[in-house]
Amino acid sequence: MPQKNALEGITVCDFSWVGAGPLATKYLADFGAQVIKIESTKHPDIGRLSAPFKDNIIHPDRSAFFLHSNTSKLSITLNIRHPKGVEIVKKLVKISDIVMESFTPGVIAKLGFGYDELKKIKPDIIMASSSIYGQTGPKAQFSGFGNAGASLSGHYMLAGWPDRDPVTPGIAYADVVQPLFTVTALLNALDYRDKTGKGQYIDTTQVETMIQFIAPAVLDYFANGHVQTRIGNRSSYAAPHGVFPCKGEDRWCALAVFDEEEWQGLCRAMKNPAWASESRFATLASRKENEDELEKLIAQWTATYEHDALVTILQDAEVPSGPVQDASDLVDRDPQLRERQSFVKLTHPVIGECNHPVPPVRLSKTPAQVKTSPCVGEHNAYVYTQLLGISDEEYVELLNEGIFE
Amino acid sequence: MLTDFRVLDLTDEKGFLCGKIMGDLGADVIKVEQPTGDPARRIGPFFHDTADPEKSLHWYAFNSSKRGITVNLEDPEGQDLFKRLSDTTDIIIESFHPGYMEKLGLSYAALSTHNPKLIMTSITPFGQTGPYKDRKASDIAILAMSGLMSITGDPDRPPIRMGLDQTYGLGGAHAVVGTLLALRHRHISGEGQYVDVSMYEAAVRANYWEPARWEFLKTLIKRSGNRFPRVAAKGLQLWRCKDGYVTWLLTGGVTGAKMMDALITWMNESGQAGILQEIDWNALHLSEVSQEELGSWEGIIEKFFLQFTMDQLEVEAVKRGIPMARVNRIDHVVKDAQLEARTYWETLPVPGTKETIGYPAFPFISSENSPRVKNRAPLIGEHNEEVYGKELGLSKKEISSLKERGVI
Repeated sequence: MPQKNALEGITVCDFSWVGAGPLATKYLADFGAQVIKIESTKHPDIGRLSAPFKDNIIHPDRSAFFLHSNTSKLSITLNIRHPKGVEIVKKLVKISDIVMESFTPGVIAKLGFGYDELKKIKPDIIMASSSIYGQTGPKAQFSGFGNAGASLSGHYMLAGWPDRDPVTPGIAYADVVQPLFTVTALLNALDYRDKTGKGQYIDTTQVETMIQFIAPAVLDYFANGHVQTRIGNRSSYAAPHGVFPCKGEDRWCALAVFDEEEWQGLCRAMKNPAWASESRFATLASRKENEDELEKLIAQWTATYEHDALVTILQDAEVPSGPVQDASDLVDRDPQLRERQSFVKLTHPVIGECNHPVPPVRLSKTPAQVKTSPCVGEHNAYVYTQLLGISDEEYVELLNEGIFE
Repeated sequence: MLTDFRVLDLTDEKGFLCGKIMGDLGADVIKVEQPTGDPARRIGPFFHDTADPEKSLHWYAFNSSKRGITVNLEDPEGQDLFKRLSDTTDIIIESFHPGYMEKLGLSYAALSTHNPKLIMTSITPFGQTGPYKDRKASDIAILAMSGLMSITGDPDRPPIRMGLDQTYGLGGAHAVVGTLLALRHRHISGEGQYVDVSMYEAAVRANYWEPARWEFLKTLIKRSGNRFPRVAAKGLQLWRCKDGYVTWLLTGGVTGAKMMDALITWMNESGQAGILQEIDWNALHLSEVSQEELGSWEGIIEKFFLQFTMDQLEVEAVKRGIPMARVNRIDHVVKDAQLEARTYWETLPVPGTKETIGYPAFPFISSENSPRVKNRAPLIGEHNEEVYGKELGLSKKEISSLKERGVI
């Protein structure tokens, strides 16, 4: 019997591009929704132009960046500025449950596909717009690049060393946070539609979702007037808490001690050096007070081990810990990711066999079933003739008119 | 809204966000604590800086929109009580070490025999299976392993984590997605299921670019402070200005030229563009520029930005179509005009005082059923009588006996 899908029967008309939008519809597609990505041959998703490319050849069907954000989707090309293209979008909306977009606020309405228009075509349609700052309000026109979400929401100022400038997160962090809330909003909307028969319009922003992750810092300001700032690798409720040097070039191990039991564990792991029993390190409060010195002493100990060996010692002593890994560790070595098939090998028609990321939520009865990502316009014939019922004759006609460009 | 659903929330700080979001969405989320209170109540900051389990702002932030009861799950009577509750419940969220619920006789298999529609979601560092499942890890260990720290930080210092416990947020938000997917399936099929969320996998997913780079190019990027690390000439992403920082990235080519032209026009209004006006931005590929050359251009721009405040830069950038953002401190965030116009803040009372404090009100806006924070976080055992008495039907005598014996 074939596996069941949680989103069986749900169709998504997907105008979104680059990061946060496609990463949201990837979850829907991996869990069984039919996600139809609307692209154009002249302006493919910018994500398709992002490195790395298979064999280093820059081509929209060779971007592994795109592949990692667009698994399990279908792609069609369509000139949505042509009146006949507009008619086709309307047909698509009619067979869709969800419309997703991530243009600068206002653009989708100008194209003629605002929520009010879509509602006329399909009264119970669910539409979601994903933006940095929101569809309404004095800054709705804001447009920004990758780090805008992290910087406007306050995250950026919370990362870095206290004696230096804040530090840029290694990724456009909001692009992976916002999609989780977009998907939540869409699933919530499907539930609401099932109960009431009503569709809805959803407005998700990078800023508002990112603040959810640092809410205690916000409350600290409202309650106490404190402006929290960067504290390196430390934590207000643990000591030691950081990464420590190990043998080898640029090798590090993270470890953290939150309570007495873990402190005793760490002391045991270090073979109870005399300094560890000094009163200045006896309690969490005193370790926080003497944290500079504490970190120096621990670093002297960690530096005598390879990082993996050190983690084994720390884990035996039940101290929360892990090696600082890089992407090569994740792809080539990590036994946990391998056993859980966090990346699954599938064959892409152009790229060939390669890793495809699997959503990190494992459902026992309706697991994600990841398929490869689409080439530009790969599903034109299927979507236009099979799903929309356009006759072969008309299809060729439209093709010749350049509607599918 | 999820108003028809009851959620029992057994998580610690690693999983709080999941129930919190479900609560904002309208579900009846009951935070289940041990009789002495959840150990996470020790996590600061605290209201008026007074360390007190009833005054943790961390607790307030992530347990608002929930009710609260206590039960000792290690006591057989407590386990029975929990089983009775479980039968009235749609969803259980937990974040114990893998195997602990089973040891208590409260595994998904055991609970779902009585309540086949039950959904159980587990949020743990590495998930329920695999060679690392029993490892002990906290945010920084998970983030270290995810590869994100190796690409974050200054080159001359250790790898650095993002502020606060981001992998707990990532795990919790993924758990909401998994739970809602399971609810969707239940709505159609009538059957519940088990959802296994690995915070490590969630963090690896957040590292959404580097695994592909390694697989296809066999190259790794190194942490490079505030410079964009993914091209040969690493562009500055953080710029100082008069009263803080803004984030912006110099780019050429078709996408960058419009923005660069706008910037140069602006700089030229005070004759400050210098050699920048001689560059053909349209034809420029950053992959062909040396770090030194890029640095010399950035020097000119840096001098220019330093003459302005964040507010001034923001206004001009929006007007001129330059994608630039303020680097907000928390005090900027709470005073942001955009968030205020969208009624992003809600005030809730602080128990035992006459004061109120501000909270983020919602994670997104819906035209029909916007989620919104609905109540302050519960005190220890605040809803014991309500839940065990009114809803489960225990008598006052039974409840006080359970209390006396430390079951609740």
